[in-house]
Amino acid sequence: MKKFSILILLLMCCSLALFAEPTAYEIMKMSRELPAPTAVSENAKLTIHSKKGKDRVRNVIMMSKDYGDVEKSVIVFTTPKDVAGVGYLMFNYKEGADGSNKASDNWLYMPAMKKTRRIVSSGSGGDSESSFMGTDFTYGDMDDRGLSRDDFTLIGSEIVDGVDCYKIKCESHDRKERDPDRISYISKSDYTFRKCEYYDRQGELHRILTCYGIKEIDGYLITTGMKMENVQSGTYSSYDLSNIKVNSSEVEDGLFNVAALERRAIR
Amino acid sequence: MRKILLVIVILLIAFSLQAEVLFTGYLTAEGSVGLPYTETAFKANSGSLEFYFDLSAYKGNFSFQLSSNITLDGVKDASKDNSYFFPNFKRGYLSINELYLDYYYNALSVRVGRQLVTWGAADFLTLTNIICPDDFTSLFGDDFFDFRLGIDTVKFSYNGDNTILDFYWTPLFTRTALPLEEGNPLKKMILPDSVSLGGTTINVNNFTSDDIASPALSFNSAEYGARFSRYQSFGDFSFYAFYGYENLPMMTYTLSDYTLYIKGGYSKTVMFGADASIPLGNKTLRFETAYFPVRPYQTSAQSQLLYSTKSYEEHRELEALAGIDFMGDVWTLSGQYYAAFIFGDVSQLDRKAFDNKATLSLSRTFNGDEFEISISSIIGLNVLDTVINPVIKYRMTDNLMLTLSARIMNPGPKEKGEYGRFKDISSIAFSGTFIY
Repeated sequence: MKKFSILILLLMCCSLALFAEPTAYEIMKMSRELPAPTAVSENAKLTIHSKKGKDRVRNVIMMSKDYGDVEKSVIVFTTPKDVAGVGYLMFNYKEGADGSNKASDNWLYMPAMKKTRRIVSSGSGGDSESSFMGTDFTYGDMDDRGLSRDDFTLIGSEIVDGVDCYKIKCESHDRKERDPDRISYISKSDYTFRKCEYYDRQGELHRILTCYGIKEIDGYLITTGMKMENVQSGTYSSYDLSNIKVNSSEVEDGLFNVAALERRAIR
Repeated sequence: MRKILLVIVILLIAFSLQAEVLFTGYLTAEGSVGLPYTETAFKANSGSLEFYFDLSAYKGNFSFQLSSNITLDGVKDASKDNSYFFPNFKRGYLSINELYLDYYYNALSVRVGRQLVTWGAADFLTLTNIICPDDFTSLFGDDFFDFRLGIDTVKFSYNGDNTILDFYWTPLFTRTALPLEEGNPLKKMILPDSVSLGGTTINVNNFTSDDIASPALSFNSAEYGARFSRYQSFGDFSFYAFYGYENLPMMTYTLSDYTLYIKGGYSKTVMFGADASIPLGNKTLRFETAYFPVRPYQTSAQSQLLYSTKSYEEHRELEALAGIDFMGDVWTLSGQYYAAFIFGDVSQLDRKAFDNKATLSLSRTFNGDEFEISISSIIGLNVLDTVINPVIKYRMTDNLMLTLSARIMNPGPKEKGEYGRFKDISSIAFSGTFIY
C-alpha cells in the first residue's frame, strides 16, 4: 500500500511537471533556441514609410554564419544608388553559461569615404539605439539580445494574427535604454516570435514589431517578414526576405571581415 | 600617356562586357553666393555642373573599377567683375578618380592603377592620411572626391580574418591640385598680387602650375607606403609608414626688377603613424598620431630673400589627435583635439612650432533620413580663426537630393590664420543632385 501511494505521488508530480506552464524565462529560452541553420544567405527589401505616406525602398543582401561562440553577420546595401555598397559587419557573441554577455563588435563601411568605421557595440546604448540606415529598426534590433539582460514575467496569453501566444513582459536591467520595457508575444505551438511592443523610459508605447510570413524552409522555421511601427512618430519600416538559402556554400568564411567589406565581396 | 590610358580604358571596358557590372553615379548642379560681409557679398562666386559615374565590373577573381567626373566649373572671382550675376562656365574637364584592376587569390590580392586610399581615424584633419594628394581647387563640396586625388600605384595586400596588410609602390607621382588657374578666387588668397618687403611694395609675378616642377619619372622618385590593420573586440588598430613626397610644393622666391618670381618643387618626407578606434560604452574613442623623422617645411619669402636660406628646411614633427564620437537615436556628436609640434629652430619657417586645433560636429536626421541637418566646425587654437560649415539636406526621393550649405571662415582677433585668410570667400551654396 505504501509503495502504491508513492507511485501515485510520483505520477502526480510527473503530470504536474508535464502540464505545468513553462516559466517566462523558459519560454524565451525555447524561442531563442529553436533550431536554426548554421549559415543563411538572403535578400531583403527594406521599406521606409514616412509620416506623409511616402515609401522609400532599400534592398540589401544579408549573410550570417554561426560559429558556436559567435554569430557573424554582414549586411550590404544594393539600392538605392546613394547607399549602394554601404556594408555593416557584426560579430554577435553568444551568452556565456554564467549569463555573461560580451558586447558585439560592429563595423560600418562607407564606400564614398573609402573608410570602415568602428561603431559602438550593440547593447551599450549609443549606436545600438540609433536608426539603422534611416529605418525604424535600430542597430540594436539587428542584434541577438542576450537573455541575461532582462527580467521576464509571464503576464498572460493573447491571440496574435490568429496564433495563440504567450505574453511576456521583458524588463531591461539597464533602465537608461531608450525602450527599457518590452512585451513579447511567443507562439504557444512552435515558440516562434510573433510580435513585440517597445515601451520608452516614460512607459509610453514607442514601437511595435510584427512578424509575418513564418514558414518552414529546409526543416527550419524562418520569419520572412517584419514590420516595425513607430507609433510616436507615425512612421513604419518593413523588412521582407526573399531568395533565402539555408546552409548554402555561398556563405564563405572569408566574407565576414573588414577586407571583404572593403573589397565589396558581397554585392 | 593619354593613348596608353585610352587603351587601358578600352581593354577594361571590354573586360566589363564579359563581367557582372554595377553602374552608378550622379549629376549635381551647384551655385554659391558671397555672404554679406565679404568682398563677394551677394555675388555669385562659384557655379558648377558635375557628372560623376562609377563603374565596377567583377569576373571570377578579377574586378575592375572606374570612377570619373566630368565637370563644368564656373568658379570665378566675383570681386573683379560684377557685371554679371551668374558665373561663366570657364573650364570643363574630365578627371579620373579611380581606374584599377584588382586580382585576389585566397587572402592575397594585387591592385594596379589609379586608386583612392584613406588612412587614419581623423575627420577633416590630416595626420597619417598623406598617401593621396589633396585637391584644393574647389570652394565647395562635401564629397571625399572633392578633396583627394587618386594615386597611380600598385597595391599588394594580405587580407586575413581580422588583419589587413597593404604595401603600396607608386612609381608615378601625382601632385596636389592647387587653385592656380586664372579667375579662381582661392588663388589670391594663397598668392597675393604684391608683397611688402622692407617697406617696399613688390609685385608678384603671375604664378601658374607650370612653375611647379614635378619629380622626374625614375626608380628613385617612386613613393612607398605600408599599412597594417588589426580588428579586435577591444578596438581597431592600424600602423602606417610612408616614404615619398610632401603633398605641398616648396616655393623658391627670387627678386628681379622689383618683381617677385616664384618657382615650386617637391621634397621628400618620411612618416610613421598609428591610429586606434576603441568602443567604450556608448562612445567610440579615436586616436591618431604621425611622426615625421624628416619633413620639409617652407621657409618664408623674407628669409629666402634677405638671408638667402633654402626654399625649405627639414625638421622632425610629431602630430597627435584624440577624438570622441557619440551617436544617439537620431543625432551624432563628434569632437576632436589636434596638436602638432615641429622640433628644432623654426625661426626661418612660414609657420609656428606648435599648432593646435579643435573640431566639433553635430548632425541630426529627421523623418527617417529624409532631412539631415549638420554643422561642422574647426577652430585654430593658435590664432582663434574658425571655419563653420552648416548643411541642410533634403532627400526628396531616393534619386533627388537638395542641399543648402554655407562655409563661413572667420579670422582670429590678431592674425588671419590658416582658415581666416579665406574669409572673403565665405559663401552660401545651393545644390541639387540627381542620383542614378
